[in-house]
Amino acid sequence: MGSATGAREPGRSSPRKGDGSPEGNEARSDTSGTGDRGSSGRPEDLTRAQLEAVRRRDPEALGALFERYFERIFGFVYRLLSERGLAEDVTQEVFLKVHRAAHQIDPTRDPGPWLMTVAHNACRDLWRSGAYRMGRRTSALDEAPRAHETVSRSADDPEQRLLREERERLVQEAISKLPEPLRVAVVLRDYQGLGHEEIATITGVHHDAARKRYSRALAALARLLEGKLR
Amino acid sequence: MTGEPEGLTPSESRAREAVRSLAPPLVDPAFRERAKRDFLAGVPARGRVPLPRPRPALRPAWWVVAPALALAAIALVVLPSGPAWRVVSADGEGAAIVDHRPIPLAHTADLARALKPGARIGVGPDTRLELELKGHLALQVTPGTELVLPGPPRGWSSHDMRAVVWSGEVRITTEASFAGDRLTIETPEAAVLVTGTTLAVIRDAEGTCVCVCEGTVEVGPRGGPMARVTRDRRRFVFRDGRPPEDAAIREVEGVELVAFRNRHRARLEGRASDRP
Repeated sequence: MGSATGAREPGRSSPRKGDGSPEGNEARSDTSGTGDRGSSGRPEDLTRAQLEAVRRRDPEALGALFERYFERIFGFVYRLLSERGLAEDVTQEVFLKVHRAAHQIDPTRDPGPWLMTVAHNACRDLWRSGAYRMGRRTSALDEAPRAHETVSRSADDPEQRLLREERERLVQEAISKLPEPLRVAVVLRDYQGLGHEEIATITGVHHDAARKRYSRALAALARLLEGKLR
Repeated sequence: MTGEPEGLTPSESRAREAVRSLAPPLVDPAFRERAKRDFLAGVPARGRVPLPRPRPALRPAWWVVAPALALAAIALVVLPSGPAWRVVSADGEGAAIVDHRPIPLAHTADLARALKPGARIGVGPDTRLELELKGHLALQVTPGTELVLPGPPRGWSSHDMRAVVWSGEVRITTEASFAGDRLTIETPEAAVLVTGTTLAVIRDAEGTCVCVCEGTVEVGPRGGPMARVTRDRRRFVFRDGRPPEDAAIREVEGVELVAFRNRHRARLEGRASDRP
């Protein structure tokens, strides 16, 4: 595992919408709160001192790191795998790997991109495993993602909620049908709100390749969703 | 650089907005707590099932691949293909779902054609199927079960068969000619190694129960240590990673398994007596 990547000071967000960085702004233009998934009221970014403590595996600092990134990692993995049980197993594996490699964290940088790299690698390892391939070859093993597994917005009336849930189900189903590299591209770009540079770093491909993958992913997703979204 | 693909079509813009508007998934508080505890400790909970490992990347040279492909092509042409699954009985109403395609139970020919090794089968709450892979084993797929069918060992030198049980209950009995073969059954949390026996694999929300009627079966968490389960015993492998539990087989399960095995043996004996 490499060292933490990303050229941002501790205490600042990774490039996400509305953070003022070119990457963050290009990824999202709105600021409606959908960028940092599941993180409303999230703990603040970790300070340099906290990241130093994470390197020493100080329990309090590790706890802060977990609180800051858990929802983001789980959301990313869940959207890639489309199955809750697998997403839970992989998320747990990711954090165990992070614990083992905590001494590699660069306290001068935001650990977010590094964590996303670890999560992406864990999903890729799973996709390459014989057991996973055996299951996927024969079918979509996993139940289609159920919409009620996502956070509901309490203000919705029941009909609106049903429509939204159905729409989410269709979108997640379409994402799960994309080839894995394209799935990663669209989830990192549009669900996680990352820029192409950062996606290139996380996935280990050239910046241009990341852009092309995203374009192909969007075209494929549009075909899969054609006529299904109202 | 804008970072956005130029000239998005309306449908691409809609797709992009749809992904952007996805809500965060709900997190099970118990899972979150467990994950945090394990993260702080730096070790997985005892008995936690490890994820499957990736297969090592292969970098075969062309002079290895070309002869291998030629041999494989010859084998495909020369070697007889394995026996197919046969529908012994289909009880109930409605349809079986085979590879996402509903097939009415009354259409037995269509059903038999669809039952290929590796096919995923789902049956409803009122449906029961008995299937036979001639010369190897018979399966009883009970109501509400979803599984991936095993195929016969591929090629003359292989003895391995694989199946997956996702939910419900599958009863299995092997034939005498199964001797020397190995059937691996996987569930999301358990692995079962069968080398000749009659057993049931039951998968529910809590985990996987393997009930052995005769012979011996090896059962354990996926990627974990296997233990032998002998006649009239059962082993439960928990989904949450608790250590497996062993107990005596439930009487009702034993009765069902014996009846299933005896029916299958009677069919085999009937066939043998029909021969001139």
